[in-house]
Amino acid sequence: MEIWQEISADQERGARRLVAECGDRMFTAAFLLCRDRNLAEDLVFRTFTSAVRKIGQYNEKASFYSWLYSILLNNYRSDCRKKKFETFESGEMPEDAASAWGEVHDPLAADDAQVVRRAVQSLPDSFRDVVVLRYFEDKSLLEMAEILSVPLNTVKSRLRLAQERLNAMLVNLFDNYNNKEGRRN
Amino acid sequence: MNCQECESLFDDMIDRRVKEPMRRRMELHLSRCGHCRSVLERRRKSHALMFQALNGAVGDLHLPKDFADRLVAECRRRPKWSLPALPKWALIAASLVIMAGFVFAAVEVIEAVAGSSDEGDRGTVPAPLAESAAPISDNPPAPDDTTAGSDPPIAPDGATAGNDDSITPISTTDFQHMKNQGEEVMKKVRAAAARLTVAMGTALFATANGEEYQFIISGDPVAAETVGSASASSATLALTSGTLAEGFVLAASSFEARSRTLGESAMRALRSDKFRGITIRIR
Repeated sequence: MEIWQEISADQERGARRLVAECGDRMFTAAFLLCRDRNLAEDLVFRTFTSAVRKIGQYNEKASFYSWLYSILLNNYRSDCRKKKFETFESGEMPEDAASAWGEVHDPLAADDAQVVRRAVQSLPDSFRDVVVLRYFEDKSLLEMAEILSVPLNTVKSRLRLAQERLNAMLVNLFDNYNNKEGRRN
Repeated sequence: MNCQECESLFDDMIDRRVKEPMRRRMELHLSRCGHCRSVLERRRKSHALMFQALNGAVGDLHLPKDFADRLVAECRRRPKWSLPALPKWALIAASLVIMAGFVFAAVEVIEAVAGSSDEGDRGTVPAPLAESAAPISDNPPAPDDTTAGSDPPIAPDGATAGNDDSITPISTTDFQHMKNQGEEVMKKVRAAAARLTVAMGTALFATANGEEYQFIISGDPVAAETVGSASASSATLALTSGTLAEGFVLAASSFEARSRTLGESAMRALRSDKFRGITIRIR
């Protein structure tokens, strides 16, 4: 049974499964976006609450996960507008973001992964959502336009600007990675 | 194909989404252009690196252990006040009271827009709107207030009103667009005013509660017309107040051609970056 079917059939079981299967992933996305663990947790909480309550509105046209994502991003953007959390133009970050990642369990050198995450979190608000969709969720430009409900060209130009900023911050890292890859081949 | 065209397709190429014959043209260009080849290769590797670095974080952050319990408890609890909790007549009555002001304000704006000269002057918002189109308060009122139909849950709110007391002027393009649509929209709004009042009132109730609201109306052309008008006027309202229709979601499964025009003009208006939170889905 799909998660959304389970939520419709048995709200409690479905909600628990939602947390078990999508919780940590959504939490990570939320943290990349809002850079504060408490706010990220709150964001995920509100997203899941409305997903469970409005499960009847889910139609199978989009994947369930994309649907969750659009709720998360709508909540996030409305928080941004209400200035629920501090916004940083660029370069700066709250303490939490700098320290939260802790140990890193991935095949990249721990430091590199952290550098990338921090670079993402130091982007201005309007770029972080496209970056998270593109690189964390691996969405295509069309899917991003749908989730963000903006025209494709808006997605393209925002992503390009974000990529330029990331390139500027991560140029050394990308170079190293390219060279390493090159040697391996 | 030149380098610029080629580069614009890099993201699609990384996703393997470039279709024939574009793909062939692109490959031909890549086979001849060392610059594009190396940029694409670099982009591919950066993409992989970013993907790996961000996804590697999933194991690092965990929701607290009691998260699921809290979620279950919250979902069981009725929202502080919810639509199903109110009797239907109370909802409709309260909606009428609340919405009358908005609808008339909308008609007035549209009239002002439609009636003004062709010189492309900026639309200024007529006085009555300033009063009725104040942003909705963050905190929904207690059910008693609304069932009594006395005080609509509309309160000027410092937190949501970024634009002091006045209302942001409509930009020239949006204004032109609304102006062109104005005459037509006005007829629609008037014709559907009563139904629209109820429909939008209901939606705004939900919106005031911080939730998004979705209309699903199918088949019936009258209903489709209502939705068309509702989306057009909510666009007007959103344009003038900026906060009004936040999170407002409209969906209609069937549309008459003329309603579609209205719905699409509303969507275009709402798609402007200023109102990013507003979604209208038409299917």
